[in-house]
Amino acid sequence: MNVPPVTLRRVFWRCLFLQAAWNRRGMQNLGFAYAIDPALRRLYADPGKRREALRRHLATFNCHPYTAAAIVGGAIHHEERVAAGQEPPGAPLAFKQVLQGPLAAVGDGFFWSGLRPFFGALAAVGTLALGWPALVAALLVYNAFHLWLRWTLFRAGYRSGDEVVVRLAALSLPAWASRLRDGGAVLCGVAAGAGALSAAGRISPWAGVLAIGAAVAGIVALGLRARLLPTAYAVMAVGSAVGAATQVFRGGR
Amino acid sequence: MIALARIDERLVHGQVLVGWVPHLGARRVVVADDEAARSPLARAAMSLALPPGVEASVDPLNAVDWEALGRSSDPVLVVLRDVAEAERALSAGLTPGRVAVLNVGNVHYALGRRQVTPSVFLSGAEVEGLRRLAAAGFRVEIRAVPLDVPIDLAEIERRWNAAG
Repeated sequence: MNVPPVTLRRVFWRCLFLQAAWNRRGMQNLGFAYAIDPALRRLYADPGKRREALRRHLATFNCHPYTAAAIVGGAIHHEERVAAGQEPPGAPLAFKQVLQGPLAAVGDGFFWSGLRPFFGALAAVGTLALGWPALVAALLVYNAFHLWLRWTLFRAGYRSGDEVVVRLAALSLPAWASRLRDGGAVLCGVAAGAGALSAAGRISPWAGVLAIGAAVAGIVALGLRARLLPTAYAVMAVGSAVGAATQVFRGGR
Repeated sequence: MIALARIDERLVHGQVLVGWVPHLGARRVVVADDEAARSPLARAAMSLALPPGVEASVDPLNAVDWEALGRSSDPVLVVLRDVAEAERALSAGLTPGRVAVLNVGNVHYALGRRQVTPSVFLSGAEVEGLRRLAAAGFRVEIRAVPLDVPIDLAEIERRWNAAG
């Protein structure tokens, strides 16, 4: 017996509330059981069997809330086989326990330290350049993309069970995470530079030129393998000193 | 050298790969766990999350060459499932001479375990085990991620007794 598509969509919707009842003893266990319950109702007509199935999904579970969608999908894949008598009742739990850690790492690395900071930086740069609509646009694109990816992971988990690992490996998310981190860092630099330049420009055109000069000196120093923080402080100090000195020469304002 | 030995019921996850691996500058993660080593799914999944430039292996605890890891030029992070496994590892050769710090990251709630930190629940036997490991020479600490304040054995015992 297969879980019908409408029930799968319902389970996916409930996956969005995975952390709503987060607790220290079972972590996301209640959220997981709540999410998978519609599928279990379809698979186990007998209330005793359904209760037993629901109970095994109350075991401690913790994963990244986005990548966990693949595990919920995969758990349904295994539950279908348990209901059909093709797998022992422990199979869905074993699947969850093995994948929760690695998929949490994938999710933390890709979403929390790659994609989300990248979109945050993009929103910052966009808002500086174009105003608040850029912020709204960045939020919309980020959420559309992550929801699409969550649905894709959920479907891949449901269709391929254990093979979802192979499908995930093909996405090479850690490599994308590292590209996004680099891209995000560049965007943060651009945002900081644009902020500094517009502040300097408000003082006088010469202050703007000075800020650009300080930035170029800093980049050259980094190119010569100077260390980041000392270089940044040194450049800021020298730039401020030059700014203050030239004001003194012009007799101040 | 072995930079850190960590007890974590979820083995390799975000706290390990996003938190500890960059913090320690580890190039290699060794999961010493019989159950994970038996599961092809676990072995495939562990490699899924690895950042570029970091390698991982999943081996049965007794198959790990602790001496070679101790001599390795790149920093190694060792992951063990629970306190009992850490004691097994000690007798197999994961000695305080090879790794100074024994870090406890995640031990989930189970019947008979008391809460010591938000992510660590310990039974009386496990506190006893940590005491033996500290007596053997390890610096025992509970610390989920590098930026957390480490909790030492005395504080673990105080909290465990207070939770009873």
